[in-house]
Amino acid sequence: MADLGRAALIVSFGLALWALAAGITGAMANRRRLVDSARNALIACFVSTFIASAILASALVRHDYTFVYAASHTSHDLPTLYSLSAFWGGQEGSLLLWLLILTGYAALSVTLNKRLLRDLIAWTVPVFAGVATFFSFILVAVSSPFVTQSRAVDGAGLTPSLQNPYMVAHPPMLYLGYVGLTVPFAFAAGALLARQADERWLIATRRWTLAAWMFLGFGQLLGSHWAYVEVGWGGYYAWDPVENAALMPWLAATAFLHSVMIQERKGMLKIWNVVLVALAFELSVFGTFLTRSGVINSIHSFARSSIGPWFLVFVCATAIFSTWLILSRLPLLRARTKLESALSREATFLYNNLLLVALCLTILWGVLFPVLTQAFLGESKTIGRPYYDFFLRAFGLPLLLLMGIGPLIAWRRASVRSLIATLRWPISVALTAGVVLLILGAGSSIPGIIAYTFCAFVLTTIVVEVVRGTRATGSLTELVGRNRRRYGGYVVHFAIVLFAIGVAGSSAYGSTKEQLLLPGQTMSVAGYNVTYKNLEVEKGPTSSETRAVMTFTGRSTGTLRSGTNAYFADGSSSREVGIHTNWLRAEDLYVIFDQKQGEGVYFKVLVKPLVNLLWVAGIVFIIGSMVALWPDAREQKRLVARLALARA
Amino acid sequence: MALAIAMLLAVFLLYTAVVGNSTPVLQPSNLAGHTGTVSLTGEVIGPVAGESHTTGLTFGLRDISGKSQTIPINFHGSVPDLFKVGRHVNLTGAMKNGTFVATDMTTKCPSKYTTTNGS
Repeated sequence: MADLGRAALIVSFGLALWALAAGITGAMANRRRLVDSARNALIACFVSTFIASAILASALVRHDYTFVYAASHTSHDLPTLYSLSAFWGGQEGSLLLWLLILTGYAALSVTLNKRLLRDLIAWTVPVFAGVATFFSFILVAVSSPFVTQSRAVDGAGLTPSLQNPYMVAHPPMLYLGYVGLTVPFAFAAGALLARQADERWLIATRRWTLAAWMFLGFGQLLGSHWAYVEVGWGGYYAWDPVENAALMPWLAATAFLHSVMIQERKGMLKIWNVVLVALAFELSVFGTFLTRSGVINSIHSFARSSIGPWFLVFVCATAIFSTWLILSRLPLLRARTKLESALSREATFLYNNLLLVALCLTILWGVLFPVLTQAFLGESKTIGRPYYDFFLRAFGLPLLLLMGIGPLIAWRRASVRSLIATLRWPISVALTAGVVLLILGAGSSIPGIIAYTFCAFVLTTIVVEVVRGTRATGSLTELVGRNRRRYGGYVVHFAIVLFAIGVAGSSAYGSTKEQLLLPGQTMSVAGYNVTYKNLEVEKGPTSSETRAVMTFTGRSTGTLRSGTNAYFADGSSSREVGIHTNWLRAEDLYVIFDQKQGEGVYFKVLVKPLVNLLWVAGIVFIIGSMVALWPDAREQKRLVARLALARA
Repeated sequence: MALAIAMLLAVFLLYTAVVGNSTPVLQPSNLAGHTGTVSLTGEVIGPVAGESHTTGLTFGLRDISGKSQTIPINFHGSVPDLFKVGRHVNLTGAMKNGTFVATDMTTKCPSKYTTTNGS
């Protein structure tokens, strides 16, 4: 079976290479048969990669330990679902998943657009094929998932903390996002190579970008939630390089999703958009490089591996290619109109873009800091949380404010007077909320109260918009149905507001206390009195489970358990935090069993106000994205009409 | 626009240079001469003794390559789940009277991604 898998990957590599070579030749010489052949090869490449993936998946589920990959990532006692998730548990499988998703996206997007964008597709195919060639080459020659051995008795299994439903869903979500950013890149590069720099590539890829962006965003949130409930240090984001690697392309894609609206409408920001698309793609490949190469110290500790240099070459090659392409096509990317006023919707979108990209580059700077200081100062240095927190506030708070202004300000030219008139409700609500919160004592954190005030502002703008629109059309469903993209956008903005409130609440107004408690003793944290009752030890299926039984009174009353699991298999242990959610306040009482000390236990108790809004935001985010993604015939017609106008 | 980006770049260059509390990342072998707070990465060497909440947890740390002298560590705080002899850990702290006094520790998670020496 492994031979078949290996053969399927070689076929994939051959097909990708053919799609690249035939695609370029066909497009340059304008030979339709070669162009079609390249396109078919790309689709066939998906089929052969799918066969290879199916072979690997079946080996994992069957626990076929003649596959080294199955032996090192599964074991007999591992449930089927987790055995399957071992597919993306290691480097080789992850790379195969990359290739599978890439060829899948490529085959589908190229097939769906082949009539509408024939001239552009001719060049899109070789771009996809180039990326696929690289990944299939790595899988064939450097890091193969089909290495075999003589049969082992049992496999090495999967680390206990990763045997968790979140870890089944989180990596493929991220991959769907990462790899999905190749689609807009391939179409943009295809359009530039074909010297067809009109807006068609934007329209063809809008939904693809949106879907990739949704997966990437939701995937990160799943990872955060996993860290929060499973890793148990009490946080959900640590600014770790590997986490940042996923955040950076997401920020670039967020900027892109906004600036395309300006290009569609006004024919501006054309250069900026291709730069953003290239940046998002580069960052997604760079992210894969970062997580796989081990150049940067991360708590995720992926082993230093042989594919690092290959990825570095690929990142550099694609960066040089993108730069050359954009520079050589600059004359085609001239804007149709100019920015008329610094106070207009175009301008606010531009500010939003600058802030998002600035935040993205700041994070990149932080991630690369150890490498750069090593290279230029001879000593590696890291920058920690304060740096990131500072810039998150410096760039994030203005972004939040712009989220309220942007959708309401007039196109072309607005006056301060008209803007204030439009925003009179949001401004008064925000000011009132600010004053009330100050009285309630939220002034203990300046960034916190600014964030809350801005959130109230944005929330009111959304409500005002929806109410006004509903009055005009007569029904809410009709309103949303008529302009899904706009109202889907509002729903996503609402999710971001919830998210911002959650972040501000849990970080700026949280409480932490550490104390040694003997059975019967009580500690008080932020309105809760937590009592340690007794210790229970139970023998579970895979571990010995120690649990401290705690009762609490105060803001809410109840019982929770917090403890540790000692795993029989490898003698490792993990903390199992006790969380009580007070839904009325969206607040968590979070108890970490730190260490046993004689009869007593050191407990770390955290009260995290509003933290649950983060997870609610995730669901709202998905709903909003789906609304904006949903096919809309009317919108399509409008775009085509606008496009015809633009090309005339 | 390019100007705006350049200015923003300048801002965080300045920030990291002046305000930013960047921490040197070291291994035991190049710790000598550093008196301020540093981030120290290495391999845990036994014996592990003491108690992290009272007297402090004591153990040794040497370079991950294994080719360095072992530095005594005194750690106060919450010990991560995955801490044990032989693990690679990252400590934040400073040298005090020949002992590295640390208050923050993260272990490199032996995730399913790792292949080096099967840890």
